[in-house]
Amino acid sequence: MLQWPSFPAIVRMCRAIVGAPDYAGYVQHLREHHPEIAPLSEPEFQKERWDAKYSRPGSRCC
Amino acid sequence: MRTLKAIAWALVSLTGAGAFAFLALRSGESVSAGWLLTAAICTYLVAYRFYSKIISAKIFALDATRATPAERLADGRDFVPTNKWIVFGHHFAAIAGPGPLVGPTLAAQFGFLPGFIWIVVGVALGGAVQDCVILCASIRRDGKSLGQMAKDEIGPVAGMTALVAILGIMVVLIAVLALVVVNALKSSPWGTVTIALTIPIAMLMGIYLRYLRPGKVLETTAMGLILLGFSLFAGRWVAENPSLAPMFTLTGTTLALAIMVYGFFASVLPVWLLLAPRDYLSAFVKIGVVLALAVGILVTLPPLQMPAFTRFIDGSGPVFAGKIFPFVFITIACGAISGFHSLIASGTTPKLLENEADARFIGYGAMLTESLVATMALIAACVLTPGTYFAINAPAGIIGTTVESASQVVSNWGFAITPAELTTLAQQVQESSLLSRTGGAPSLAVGMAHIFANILGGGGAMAMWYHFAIMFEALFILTTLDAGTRVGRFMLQDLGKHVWEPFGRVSWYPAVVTASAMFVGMWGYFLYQGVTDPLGGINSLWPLFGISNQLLAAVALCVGTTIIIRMGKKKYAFVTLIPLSWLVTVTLTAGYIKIFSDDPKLGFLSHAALVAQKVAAGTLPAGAKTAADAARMIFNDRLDAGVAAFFMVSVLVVLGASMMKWYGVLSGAIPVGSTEVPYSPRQAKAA
Repeated sequence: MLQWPSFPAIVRMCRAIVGAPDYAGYVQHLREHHPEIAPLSEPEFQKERWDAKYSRPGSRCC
Repeated sequence: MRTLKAIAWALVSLTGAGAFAFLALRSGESVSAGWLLTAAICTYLVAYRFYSKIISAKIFALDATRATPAERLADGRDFVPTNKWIVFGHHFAAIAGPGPLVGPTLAAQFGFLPGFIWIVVGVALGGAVQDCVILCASIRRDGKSLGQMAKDEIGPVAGMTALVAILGIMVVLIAVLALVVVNALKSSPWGTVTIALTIPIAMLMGIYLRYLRPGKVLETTAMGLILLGFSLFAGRWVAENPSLAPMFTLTGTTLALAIMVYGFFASVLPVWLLLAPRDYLSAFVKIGVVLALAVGILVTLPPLQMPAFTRFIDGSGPVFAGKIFPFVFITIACGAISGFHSLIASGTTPKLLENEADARFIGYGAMLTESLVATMALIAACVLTPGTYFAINAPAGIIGTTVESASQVVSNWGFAITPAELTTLAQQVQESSLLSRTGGAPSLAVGMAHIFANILGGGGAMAMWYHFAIMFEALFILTTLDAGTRVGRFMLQDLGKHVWEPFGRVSWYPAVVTASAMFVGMWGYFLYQGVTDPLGGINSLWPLFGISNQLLAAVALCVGTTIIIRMGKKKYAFVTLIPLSWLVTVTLTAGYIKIFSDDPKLGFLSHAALVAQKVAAGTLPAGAKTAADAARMIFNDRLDAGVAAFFMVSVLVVLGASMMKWYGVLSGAIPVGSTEVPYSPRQAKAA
């Protein structure tokens, strides 16, 4: 049976669709794969993602 | 089970074919929008089920056990394995822009059928194929960009040409979209105030998101959406206030300058302050309105007032000059096939797929969805009576500036409309006038308001829905404009650093300001030219945009064909060769006509010659007040001709280089061999 997604799942989905920076996912990735690297803070990560997004073609169209 | 499925697919095909036959054969009375939707959706289903399978199964043999770049290169930033529905939403939000709304609206001057057939057939055999092939190719190459693939697969000349062409396309794209906004906001205090308010709203959101609640994107956007609602009422309040309204009743040139200043600041200011929050706002509004429009059309199934064909298929159309062939095929780019999508399909999307088998659903499926949006835009434009449609979309140079002259000219074309009807409509939407609001946005907004007001009506609802639709379109367009200006600035800096190294430093203010000003100057010039053009500007700029976008698609299809042939799958190269040969034919014909046609309404050079003749004879052409104006008109015509020629040469260079490569592979001089990243198995992970 299809289960109605939980509220946090809907929030995650909406965020991913509009391309909002996924800080939790980033921290989890570093923890699992590169525990030696200290993660950026959330505002730093957000800034880094946004700067990357708006500096190349390929994130927006006509 | 097999037979059952076969029967079901046969039924879908028959229904679609039947709906098409009905649309084509029925003449006279108006038809319901339901027939268009049925024909479109059945075609999409059949195309997806059967045609896209050639790409996914035969050409790339997409393999669910193969690790994607998102898995192999996972970095928690760009490369993140993501569920297919989310990637679909993300990809769709990235490819769906104002293009599929404006193009079909303009092409409605030929009647609803030419544009509709091109939207549906073009997407199945062209647009969705391009998106899907480039996406698959990029996934197999670590998410490489189109420019990089052009360089690696075809050669450095093709790569460089593609890069410069992309920059040129962005200039024309931004200019024409800005022109659409200017024409929608001209002498409209309600629209101007509402749109102007979106800037401080975005900045508030930016500050909130950076200092108060970092990362809380949805919460911030929800507040932004509420403020957006207020701005709609603020606009009405200003428009109804006799002392404030004149302050915000702006001319085209003032608005054009304001948009240039805005674009400059969007490029220079930090991203968090303006671009990022605007983008979130726009993404939600976009998805919301597209869904609402779909519901609105499905619930009301409005009859189409526009005939299947109008007399303007002979090339004498007032919205833009030129016959059905080739002009319907370049007027509707996005929605049928859009070269720009190849940048997205080789940009963010290939870095997100967790399973490469999803590429068919995302590459091909999202483009079909965009085509559906284009069909809905066409429907919204065609629910207006043709008289209304032409009064809004024909330039003042043709229909004059009063309701009397407009109704006389339009009625003479055979589309009856009275001055009183035009006045009433303008009053209903609370605009001083709707005449000659070229660019497509106002007529689409009237159409949408018409559909929405049928569901949620009441006193003044029409005006509210109209300005809501204008706000939606302008928000949408300005988000493409500001992000595009910033990207253009980066591309200029990247090219400029080969000349002078410090110019490429992306956080060195003198370089940032200079590059931004240069890029804004480039599109700003074309925008200004369009705003001051007595024929409305859309007539000259929109075909240039269409040609450039289709040529980028041709470049993408060259890359795709080269990849398919080098894989040793020449048997299936027809999949990209069909749209490629069609696009090359269409765009080179259109480019040639725009440059060399003897008809001054159509050809840039003959128009320049006509103006020069008038000047030599001591008179001035319409729209020019001084000899300097006329000289500028001549210069602009020649510039436009040069731009068209530049795009044509670019595509010929890439096509020539590709054909040499194909010949090399087919003659055996270049060995067949994959340039893909070798297979590695996917880590077994429950999705």
